[in-house]
Amino acid sequence: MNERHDPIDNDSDESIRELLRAAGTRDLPPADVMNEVRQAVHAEWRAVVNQKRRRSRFVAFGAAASVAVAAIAATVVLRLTPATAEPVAQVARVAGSLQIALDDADRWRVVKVGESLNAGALLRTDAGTRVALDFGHGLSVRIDDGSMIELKSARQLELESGAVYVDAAPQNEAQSQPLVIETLLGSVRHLGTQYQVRTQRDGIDVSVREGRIEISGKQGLIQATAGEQLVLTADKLERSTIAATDPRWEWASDIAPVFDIERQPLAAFLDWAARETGKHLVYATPEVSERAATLILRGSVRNLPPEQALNAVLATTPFKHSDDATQIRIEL
Amino acid sequence: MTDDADLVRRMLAGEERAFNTFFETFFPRVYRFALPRLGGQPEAAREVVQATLIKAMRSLSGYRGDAALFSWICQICRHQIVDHLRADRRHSKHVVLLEDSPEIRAALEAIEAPLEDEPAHRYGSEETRRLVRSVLDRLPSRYGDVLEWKYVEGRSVEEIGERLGIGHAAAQSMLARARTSFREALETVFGSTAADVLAGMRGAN
Repeated sequence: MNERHDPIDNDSDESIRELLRAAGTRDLPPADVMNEVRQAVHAEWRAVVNQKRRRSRFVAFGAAASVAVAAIAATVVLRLTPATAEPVAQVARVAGSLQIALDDADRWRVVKVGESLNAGALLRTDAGTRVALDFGHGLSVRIDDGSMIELKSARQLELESGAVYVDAAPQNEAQSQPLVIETLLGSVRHLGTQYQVRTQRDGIDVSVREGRIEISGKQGLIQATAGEQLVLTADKLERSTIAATDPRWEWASDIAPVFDIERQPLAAFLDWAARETGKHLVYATPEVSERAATLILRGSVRNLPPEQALNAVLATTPFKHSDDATQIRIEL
Repeated sequence: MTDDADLVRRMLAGEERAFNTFFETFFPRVYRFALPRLGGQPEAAREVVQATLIKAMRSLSGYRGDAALFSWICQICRHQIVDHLRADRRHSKHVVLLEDSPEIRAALEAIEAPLEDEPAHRYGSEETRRLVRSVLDRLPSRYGDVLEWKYVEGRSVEEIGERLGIGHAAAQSMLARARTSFREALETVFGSTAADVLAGMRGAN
């Protein structure tokens, strides 16, 4: 780096320059420490902000109720209560420790696999924790580490920080009532797809692996299709490409809900493995496809990532597979 | 409203950019504050700084802007350091730095509001170097960073502006304010000019 002197420099600055150079550069904390602490502090900050918002809502509601007639207040309470108590998702898989806060964001507790989550729940994942949630009807949501989300309803969640990956199988009815991800810069709605939304310092990164998504926000309606990555800030939109097998999808595949192979046809398992790895499933012949549909599996591939599960299952069958960057080819 | 109070107000409103400004401005400074007081142990510093900033987040709505935000965070950090040392008997000896002496501590915390009585001292060269670095950490806003980028790293005004996301004129103005603030701070802490501090540092070698 070449030092450049600006016109504003003068002799009196020389003593500052020499003194600072003699004092030496202040130490910078290690980047990994900074990132780790940032995630923890950011999660706490979001919790504080959310708590403040909730209190504001409560105070506002209390003020309104105090001047309203009892019948109207009762109606408001009845409308609010079922929405906040409604179970909207189930914890399908946790690697690490998922924490939840309900009415008071200062009180966090650990959530276990199988627990139901109600509307209004605030979820956070610390460094190293990843989670898969099952919203029913084939809709799976994965939460990356260092994230915080609020479950608004069965079809709406707010991404406060971090990243979520949405897998909505196109053949399921979830398509007719898509999940909406609310962010600071707009709402992301899918149209039968796999995609992820990640918060950035000044915006969001939305990457589409399959299907199509729409973002409605301050910049109007923005659409993206499979293979596109959008980086959206308050005043800018950048488009680039991302392959379905890009390593940036791996975290979501690694925390994929467990596929229970017991008494399932091999073809169903292969569909799952292809979807989770972002590859096309190709049968060498129609006969191979037919036989895969009739072969019934037994056993378990619990907690194996899709690639490893594929190797483990096919090793117990007469089928073989060959992979390349874009497809899984099945033959006999 | 002071810059610090405005930053806290924006953070409480949930502004992501305000959080980033807060973290990037204060995390390195608090880390440098904690590390030497914990015997230079990085893991202990990480724990203490994380606990400090989390506690600061929880107490954010109680910040009134009476003291500089960094001084307010340092106060929390001091308590965390004491708690940590109590919990970890291996480090029963509390590290006391020159900056922790009542006189210097008062001078450092008064950098934003200089004292009338200026302490004039001579310190060893290493102590002076550390004090100068502490002074940079105590300057308001990103002044310490701006001065370091300009005079130690040799960055141009344009580069500094790019780093801070501001234009050339704003960066130049900030640099001028940073120099003024630094000179005043040296007067407060050392009771002398940059040239005198430098001469004293060289004389102590």
